[in-house]
Amino acid sequence: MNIAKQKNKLGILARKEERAFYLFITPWLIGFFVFTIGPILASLYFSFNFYDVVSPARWVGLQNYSDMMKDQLFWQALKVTGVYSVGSVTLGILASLAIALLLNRDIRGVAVFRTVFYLPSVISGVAVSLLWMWLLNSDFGMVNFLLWRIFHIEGPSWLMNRLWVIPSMVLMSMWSIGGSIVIYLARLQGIPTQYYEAAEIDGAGYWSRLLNITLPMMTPVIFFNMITGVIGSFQVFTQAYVMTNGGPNNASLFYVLYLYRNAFRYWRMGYASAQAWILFLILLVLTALLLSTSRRWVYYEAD
Amino acid sequence: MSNNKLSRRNFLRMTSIGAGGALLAGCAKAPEIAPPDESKPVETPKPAEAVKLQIMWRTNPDEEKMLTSLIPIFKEKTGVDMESNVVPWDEYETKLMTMYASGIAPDIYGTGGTNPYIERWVRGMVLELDNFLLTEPASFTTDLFPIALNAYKKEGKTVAMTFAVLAAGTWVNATRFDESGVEYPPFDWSDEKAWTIDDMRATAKKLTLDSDGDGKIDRFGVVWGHGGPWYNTRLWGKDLVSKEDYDSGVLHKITALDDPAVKEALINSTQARADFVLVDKVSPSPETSQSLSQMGPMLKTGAIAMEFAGGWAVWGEMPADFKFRAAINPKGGVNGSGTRTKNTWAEPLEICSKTKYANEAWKFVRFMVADSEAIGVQLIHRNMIPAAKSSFDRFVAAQANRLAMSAEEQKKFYMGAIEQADTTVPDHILVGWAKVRDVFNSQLEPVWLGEKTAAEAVDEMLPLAQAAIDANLKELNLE
Repeated sequence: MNIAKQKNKLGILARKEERAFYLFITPWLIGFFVFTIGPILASLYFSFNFYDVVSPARWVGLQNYSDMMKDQLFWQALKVTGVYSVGSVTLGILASLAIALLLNRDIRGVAVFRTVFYLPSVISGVAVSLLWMWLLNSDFGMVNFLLWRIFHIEGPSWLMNRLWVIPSMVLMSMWSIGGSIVIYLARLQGIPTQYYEAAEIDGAGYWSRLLNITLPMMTPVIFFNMITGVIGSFQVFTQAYVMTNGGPNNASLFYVLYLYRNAFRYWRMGYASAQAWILFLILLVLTALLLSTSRRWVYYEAD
Repeated sequence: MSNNKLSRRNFLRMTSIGAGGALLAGCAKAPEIAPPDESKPVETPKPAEAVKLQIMWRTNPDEEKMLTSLIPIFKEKTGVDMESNVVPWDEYETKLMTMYASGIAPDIYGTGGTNPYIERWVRGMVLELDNFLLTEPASFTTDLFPIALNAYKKEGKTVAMTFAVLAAGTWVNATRFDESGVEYPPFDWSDEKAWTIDDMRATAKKLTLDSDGDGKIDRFGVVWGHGGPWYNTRLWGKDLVSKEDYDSGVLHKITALDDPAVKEALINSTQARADFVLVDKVSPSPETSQSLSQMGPMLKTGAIAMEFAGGWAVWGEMPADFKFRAAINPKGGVNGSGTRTKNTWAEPLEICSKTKYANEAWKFVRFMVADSEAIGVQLIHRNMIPAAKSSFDRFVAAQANRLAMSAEEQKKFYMGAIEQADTTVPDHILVGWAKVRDVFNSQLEPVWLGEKTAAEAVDEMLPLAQAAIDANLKELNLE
């Protein structure tokens, strides 16, 4: 009898909790459906229409998609974004991993270094872009000044040269690797010290420990940063919009910048919606590819 | 018990239905507002509630002060209250477009960023104003400069009302001229032979300076601010846009594709502009311009001695260290065989096609165009020429201390700038121009950088520009 009462009491409490749960999650769910799922579905519909936002949409089937395949700027934007993605993701992983390894050493003032390396990543995109415009300026910029002072090399016109504009943006992306460094550091500090002790007893040196213990243990985090890095690199907008506006000669016409122009400058929301869906599919395929390769090189402790 | 329990599935179902309903309601077509009867002047029944007009304007400290001063005066004179919605330049069109689609667009569209006025009309976002004009006395229109009255007439309909115009000219840092002992360029537009592009180049050479001898130029002679192909081709006496397209407001073809003379003018004018930077070295490269501009407007900081541009070159605070003058536009073409830049920037107001307060909105438009007090406020905060001819002398008086020119000289310059203008700029009056302009800008960058000749770039550029036009026409169902 007592047990039955207790069960009933718990049931009432559980129901109250459940009601509270639903009550508190409802605003988020409504927001999610109205402001996320709704626009996603709407954009899918509009991608099959000629639509300028202010006039009724006109159904054209796959016309936007077929026009895109013939659009030179679409391919240029895809190329620019692809090259940037390879450069920024690769260099980002290498640099942030290397810095995390350095910051993981037991040296004096390491907390200060960690803060210093993380600090730039809290600055907003527009401010960073303006700052780098000055740093990379060919006439007055610090980068060219140092190149000349230290190496006697006359630096290029970074942002106005078709060959250098994407490397410049890749270089600039290093500014915000602080977030990745923190993730790598957290993982590095979670690697059990016994592994290193056992390896040392077996006579393993630094590089051997790095290659055989540290890197394999880091692969889940590297994999995570790779996926988020690829997705992030395909969404680059601010730098291109503020620093180069896609130039020179479309050499920094990033995918999302071109999408924005179509949507809000050329009154082609239908075409821009189609572009957004193609971007989604590209990222889906890339993520699936990375996931499929992960079985071969990502090591999980539970494996 | 379990029957009363809200299952997860039911909860999600209810939330989805609720959210879906809200979404559908949000996306539903806004209630139709009957367009005004075009056969007679608009008579909106006086609304029961107090009218509060909304106007959208770009972020600009001087213009914000102007609006803040104008609104109480307008309310006092008409009893109509007003609220301004000020948004950054580059967000203006995005915001306006989405507000219109949501049925909450402002009643009046003021000055924004790129200002594609005709584009908005073609897409049904604005009221045509001829019915309102019919209600005005004849003096209202006869007092307007022809360019102000006609700039936004498309297919015989007035789709926007110009309240001020901006002169195009050569803006001169007279102190730099004095320092180099160079004669000022002329200010009288009626002098047909004076001031050609070659004269401007020769003058700019005298003004360009490497003061410390380090091989880097510290002061450039001129910035060719009228940089676009449309402006340049007109300088060489031809036009990239046909008369039919100007009349309809819809861009169908770049004339240079079919007319070799237009193409030649486009190539030669583009190459001439590039040579100012690359060969003559009297103008800064685009990157150097960008750097110099970050220190302040180049003409005002003294980094350049002349700017061939619109009147914005002498807007805002004038530095006390320098004195400035205005001069006529140079005549383009080989040995001055072309024309002077014959354009102005006409600044209009448009009335939203969905406004509930069309009559009140028109009252504000006419207030800006013709009310003496309103023009006085505009003259304090912006040095644009009022559209009303009767206010021209007041404009000149208000300019007195801005330019080191006598009132008579200024009158001659500004009146000439207005009278010679035959159009406002294509961004404002041609549907589809935004994409074409981007094609022009990107394709001609290699020319400014010395990587391609103008002829090579133009050959590649024209088909791309035409493809952009065709895509636009297809979407508008105007093929």
